[in-house]
Amino acid sequence: MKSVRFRVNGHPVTVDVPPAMSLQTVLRDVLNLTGTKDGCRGGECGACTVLVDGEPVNSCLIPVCQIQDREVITIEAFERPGEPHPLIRAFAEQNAVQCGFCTPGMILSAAGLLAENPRPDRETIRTVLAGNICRCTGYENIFRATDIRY
Amino acid sequence: MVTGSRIISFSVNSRHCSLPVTSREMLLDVLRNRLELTGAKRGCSSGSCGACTIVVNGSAVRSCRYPAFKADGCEIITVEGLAEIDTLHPLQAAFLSSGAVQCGYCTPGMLMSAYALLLRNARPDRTDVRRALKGNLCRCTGYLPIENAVLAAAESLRNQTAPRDTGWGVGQSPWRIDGIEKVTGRALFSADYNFPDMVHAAPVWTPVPSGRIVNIEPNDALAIPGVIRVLTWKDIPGLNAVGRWKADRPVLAEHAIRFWGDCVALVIAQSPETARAAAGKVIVKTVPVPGIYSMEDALEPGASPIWETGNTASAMVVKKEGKPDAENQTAIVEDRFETGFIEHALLETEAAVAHIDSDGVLTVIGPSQNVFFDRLELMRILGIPPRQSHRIRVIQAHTGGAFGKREDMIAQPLAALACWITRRPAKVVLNREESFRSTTKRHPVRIIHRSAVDSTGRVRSLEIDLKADTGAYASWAPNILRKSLVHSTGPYDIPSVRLAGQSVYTNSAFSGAMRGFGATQSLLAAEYHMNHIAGMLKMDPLEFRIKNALVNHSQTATGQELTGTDALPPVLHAAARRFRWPGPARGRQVKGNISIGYGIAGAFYGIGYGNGIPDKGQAEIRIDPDGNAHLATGAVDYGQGSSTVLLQIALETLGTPRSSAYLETGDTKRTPDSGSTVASRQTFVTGNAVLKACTRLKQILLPVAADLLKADPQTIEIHSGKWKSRGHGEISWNDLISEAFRRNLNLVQKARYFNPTEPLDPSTGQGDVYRTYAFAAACSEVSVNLKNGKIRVIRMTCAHDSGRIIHPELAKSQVTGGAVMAAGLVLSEEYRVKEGIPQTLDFNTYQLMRFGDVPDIDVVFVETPDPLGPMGAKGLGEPATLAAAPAILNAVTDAAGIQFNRIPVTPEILLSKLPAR
Ligand code: FES
Ligand code: FES
Ligand code: FES
Ligand code: FES
Repeated sequence: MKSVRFRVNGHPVTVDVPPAMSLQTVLRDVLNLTGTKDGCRGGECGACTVLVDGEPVNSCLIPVCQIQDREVITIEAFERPGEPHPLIRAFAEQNAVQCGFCTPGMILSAAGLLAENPRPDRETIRTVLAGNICRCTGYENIFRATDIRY
Repeated sequence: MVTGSRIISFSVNSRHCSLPVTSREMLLDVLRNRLELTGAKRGCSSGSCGACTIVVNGSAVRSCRYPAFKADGCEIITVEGLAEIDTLHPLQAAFLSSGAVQCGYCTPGMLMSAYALLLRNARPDRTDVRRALKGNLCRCTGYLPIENAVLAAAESLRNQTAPRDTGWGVGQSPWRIDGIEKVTGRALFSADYNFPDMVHAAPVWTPVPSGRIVNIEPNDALAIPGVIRVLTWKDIPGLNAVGRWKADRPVLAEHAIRFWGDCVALVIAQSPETARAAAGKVIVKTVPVPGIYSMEDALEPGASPIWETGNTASAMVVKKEGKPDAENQTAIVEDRFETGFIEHALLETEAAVAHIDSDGVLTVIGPSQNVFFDRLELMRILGIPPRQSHRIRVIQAHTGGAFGKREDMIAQPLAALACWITRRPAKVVLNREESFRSTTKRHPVRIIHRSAVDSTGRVRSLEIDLKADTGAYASWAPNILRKSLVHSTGPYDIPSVRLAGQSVYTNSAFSGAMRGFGATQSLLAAEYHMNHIAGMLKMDPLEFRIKNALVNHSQTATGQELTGTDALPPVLHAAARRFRWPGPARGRQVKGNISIGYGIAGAFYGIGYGNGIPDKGQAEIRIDPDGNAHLATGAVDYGQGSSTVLLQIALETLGTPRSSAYLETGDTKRTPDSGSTVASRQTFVTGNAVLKACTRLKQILLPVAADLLKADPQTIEIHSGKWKSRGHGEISWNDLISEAFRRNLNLVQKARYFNPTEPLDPSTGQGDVYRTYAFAAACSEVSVNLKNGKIRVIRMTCAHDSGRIIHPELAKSQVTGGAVMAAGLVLSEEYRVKEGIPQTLDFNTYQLMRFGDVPDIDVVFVETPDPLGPMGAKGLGEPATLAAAPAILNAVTDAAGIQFNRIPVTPEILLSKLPAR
């Protein structure tokens, strides 16, 4: 067991867990933040994407001990009362969501990209989102949603 | 590890546990909060209700007062450990067979006290049971069904048998549909729900009973680690008010403080302990305003108004002019009768949880009498506009009693606000003191009667002046006043009546609905008065009542002609016969210090909302492809048993086996609105809707059955799960449904039942105000100790005409529960308020009847099938208290030889009134 301290969506947390436990498991099973999805646990689908210090990562691949003192952002941070977050609004308006299982990961990947490069071209969007699999939408609407800048 | 804590190890239900506890933690906290064993309930936290009873090393203990560290090395059994997988312990089975479970909140504690008793005594008698369970309170059953269950369980343990469930026909007494969950501790009451990442909120109460808020200072509270926010009225997005008839009670007080139960702020924190601690640190600065603490003061000319509209919440008259009867000599009899505030004392305090579900819908789970009313009010508070009701869902949790109190929400708006604002699941649980101070009470009344009686003993005319104290807010003031006044003559045919009623605001407390809805007080006063008249005329009270009784075709005070009922005489006679009413020959019997007396009384009660208020029940039945019958209705069951009764009506109509039927209730998202569970209306109104929906479905299935049986549809009968026709054999439900699906028939049916009534004429109070009336009569024998004032109800007979009885054990349990509640009303209960400050905020000062105080109660049903009721049934919930209370009071009068025109008659009061001997 190891005590790991970090911040999730702005709140400080401390968890006592085996050091090799993945960030994904800590988020979902220890902190009950189930917005982050579990699609493969092998870094292949991107459903578990979160931001660590602003950087999109597959949380299933990161042992939580590497998160010590770092800042994690999950899909839950996008929820707010009143006006929806622009990315959420774009995803909704562009019909970028069908079953919704890939959506949290997509939004986090897109958010990571837009934070770095507020005006990415289509090609960049494609490349950056290549690690996120979607089985429903055929991607086009997702790219369009990411392209919209409110 | 938390400082000051130590690790303890123990076993719970044969599972080993080891965890750190602090010296302040009680075992109940550990079980409920840390081990998620929520079967043991919290009713008081002070050791006086028994809801938290568990068994530690073979002995029953109150876990709310048992320090957790003392459990080190112990073997603990909780209600969750009684059953083996799916085999109930004989105690659990016996509770279900004997009608010993209503709301179920006391049940885990009762079971564990009984379990400990049976561990050490395999052959308990009644006295042993009463002694072992005397620390366990029950507000619903009147204890006798529980006593019977424990004795039956002891016997079956000795014989190695177990009570079994019966059939589900109408007139049988199957295990209630929520019974297994309730006896195993699996039934979740509001406080038992937990959600991940949940916040906890605690109210900040007013420091004065009447005043103005100058300032609310939250900083000290906010400085405590773990405190998230402190909400005041400014944070309420919508209308800051609760109240169905009049939205007048602020969720969080703005400027005016009108009574001791006003909530001024809400502290939201990470844990309940932090929230409570921080609530104590919010500084509320007020300037006192002189309060008005009596109806007399409120009505003084020039009294300062509590509301802009004045101090009268509502007023009405009922006037019926009969033929003057000049020939007959008349005597005039006058009386004045008073009652105080009465607390419902539900074993479950107010609690609610709210969370935003995965579709973004705010879901509020709480106790309820009408989830649709609750939803409407919550929408208003949160500023959700009308016609967007899909954004909020209200689900009734298992509800630990209601008796009218749950009509005025308190915890739900607070939990909903905390969740809405933090966007995290939120929970609010009031403690017992908060429950006492903030929730509704039964209206205190002052009633003056003036009767003119002729020489034959007929009451020719009656004038009544009734004043009711509604406290700081209206709640259902006009409706309660109406029910009170309409019933205030008692169940008697009186040619001329002049009744005037007024409901008055004061700053004493907050009155609302309570079992009988105002009629309890007015019927009690009426029977006190009738007894007085009978005594003056030297007539037998029974004979006097029969002479004046409502019968078929008599007119009530509102001029409504009764039809299709024999009304009062059959129940009076039935009660008197079974009781062996001593008749005119009786006299006060004094032996030493003990005096024995007898009392008799009758009652009637209008079923349903009445007065032209739209009174609808709805039900939906759907047959799933596997043959499962799914019945849904919004009617909530808070223990009285409507769900079981409604399912019985459906099964009886359709012949569906119990194992293939399911009933869903009380969920705004999944069930159709069926009105409030009030006014003893659900069996009658929603029962009719269920009957209608099921009958429609039956019509669809009949031709199918006829084809399968090769019989004329007319000849088909449904009997215990089989459709049969004489000479053509029978078919099973499964075969019938398979064939119906093969034919692509529509097996979803909805029905609405409308119960029409007339509004009373506002100037005369005349009209057909209720569709049907239930009748009740009771006799009682009491002993009074002339030396120490102790009063004991020895035995009672309660006779009820509630139409056909669908579930006899539950019906009996209603009646014994009602009679024992009536005994408390007359002999011990009063929520005393002194200058706005309540004096009775726990179960030591507010005294409920306990196990040992209970008389023998003989229950008789006079089952005159009601032509309008479903399968002939009417309502029973409220009538159960109505005749019992005056029967007890009249017996006390008889035994003491003096009249008591104020309740409760406690030993102190009795002694103070007795002439010195
Ligand atoms: S779950 Fe992490 S990449 Fe699939
Ligand atoms: S929307 Fe279904 S996987 Fe992307
Ligand atoms: S909660 Fe323990 S006795 Fe009431
Ligand atoms: S069943 Fe006992 S308190 Fe409700």
